[in-house]
Amino acid sequence: MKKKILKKTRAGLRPGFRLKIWTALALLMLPLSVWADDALLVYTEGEVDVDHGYGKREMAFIGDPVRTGESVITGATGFAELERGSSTSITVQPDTIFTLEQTASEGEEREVMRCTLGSVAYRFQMIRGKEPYLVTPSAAAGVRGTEVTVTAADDGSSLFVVQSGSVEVEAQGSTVTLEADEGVEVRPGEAPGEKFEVKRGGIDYSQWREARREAFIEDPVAAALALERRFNSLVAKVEELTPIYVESKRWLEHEREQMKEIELEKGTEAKWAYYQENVFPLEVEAHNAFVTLRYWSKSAFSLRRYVLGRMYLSLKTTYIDDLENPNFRGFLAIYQKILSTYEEKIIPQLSNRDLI
Amino acid sequence: MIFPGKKGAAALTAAAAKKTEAAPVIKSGVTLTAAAVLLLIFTGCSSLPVSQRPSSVESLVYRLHTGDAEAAADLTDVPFLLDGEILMTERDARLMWENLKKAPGLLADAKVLSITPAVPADYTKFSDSSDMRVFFERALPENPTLVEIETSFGRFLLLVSGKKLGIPVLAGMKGPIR
Repeated sequence: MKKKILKKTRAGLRPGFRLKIWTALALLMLPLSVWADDALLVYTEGEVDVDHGYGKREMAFIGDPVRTGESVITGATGFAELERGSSTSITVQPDTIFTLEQTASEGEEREVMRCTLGSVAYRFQMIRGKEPYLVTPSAAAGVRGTEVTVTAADDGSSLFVVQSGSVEVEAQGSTVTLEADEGVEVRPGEAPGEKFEVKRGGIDYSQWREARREAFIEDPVAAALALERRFNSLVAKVEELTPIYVESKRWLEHEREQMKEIELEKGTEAKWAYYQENVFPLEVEAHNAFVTLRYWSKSAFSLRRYVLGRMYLSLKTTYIDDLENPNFRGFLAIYQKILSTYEEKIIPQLSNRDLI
Repeated sequence: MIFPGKKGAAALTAAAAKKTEAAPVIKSGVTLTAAAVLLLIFTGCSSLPVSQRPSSVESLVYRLHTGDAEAAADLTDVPFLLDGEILMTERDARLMWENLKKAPGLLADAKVLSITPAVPADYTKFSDSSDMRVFFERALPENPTLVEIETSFGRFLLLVSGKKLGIPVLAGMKGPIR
């Protein structure tokens, strides 16, 4: 009897209405999945801010959430620990900019944890779904059940050191797989270097950052050229993805128009059938194309804002009494080229909210 | 110049009114007008944001010049501007002052040329870029003020704001402008 009632109730719903509920649930899942990716600040020490975007930056407190799109910025003595669920622990060291973002890969959304400057240690105990991307200005890494420390230097170089598990570090189309107690350095615009063995506690990350900084001050033109190579590779990716996104959006609009015509000609049921079969897959495709395009655009933005910005500051203030110095002039010429490409190719992909 | 604050201004006005009683030769209308002018001057001065008071701005420049890098970084807001850059971290502020302190006399004998409230359209004075436009539209700090100074290194444009222990803080610097 119960079965019969259930059947009758199910049959009693109009198919279009069932589809609407299904679509509404699917749409509801989008913000829920974003919410599920939030991290929670479980410990802070010294100066720790959360940058919510659009110029809203606040002092962080234990218990504050850090949402997708937000950054944790630590001061000279700042230190923060974040947790995502019970499986992911993130330790943000002093002088670090760490951002939670997302991208899409193989049709699925993928979490991005970006360390733009400074040092971040990650511990992933159990990864549900797609493993997150760990991103620095010069490389991206996929992880599998891992403890890994990622450090980004002032010149855009990065250092990946694996404590346990396995990490695949990718840069400029080349990949290096790191196992426990292995590390690799990646210079901007270059493939990952040779991997090296790491003794526990054998790496002083702040010393490494200082060494990279000194190398940059020593030869700023070479550092700027390397950064320009990396920046241009990100721009090329944006340029490759832009027409794909534009085309998927165009197709989506076309199919939505078709759906309206089908409703007029064949009724609501036919419309929803068309939606499920033709429109919804295109909505997913357009969404993924958009998220991926944003990921690459924001990678270029991070490089320009945080890495190039600090490089400029370092050199301008170093040479404040000698602004005609060839080191500064040489750097300035490359700097201005990057800015001009950024304004022309990257800015159109970003919103005002992204810029501050 | 000493600014008495709102309470001080009220007391001075009251004193002026008392004086009027003792001097009946002065017409009461004239005395009232004078009192009102005094009140306006004093309340006007005290309500001027600290970032727009010449003495406070001079005090900031003096402290940036005389303090060490750490003290100067403490007087620098984050985010802050350097030419066309928006710098986001405390370390950036420290780095900037560590380097600038190596250039002796950068702010020695600095002379304040002008003080004007900053408005969004002023972004081009730092850089004609989208980043700067959005910063000036959306993220200008409290009581933003543009201060032009002349130093032995040339002219600099400062963005100062708010107050910290009674003096404004530095939120941006451009220069030397040639």
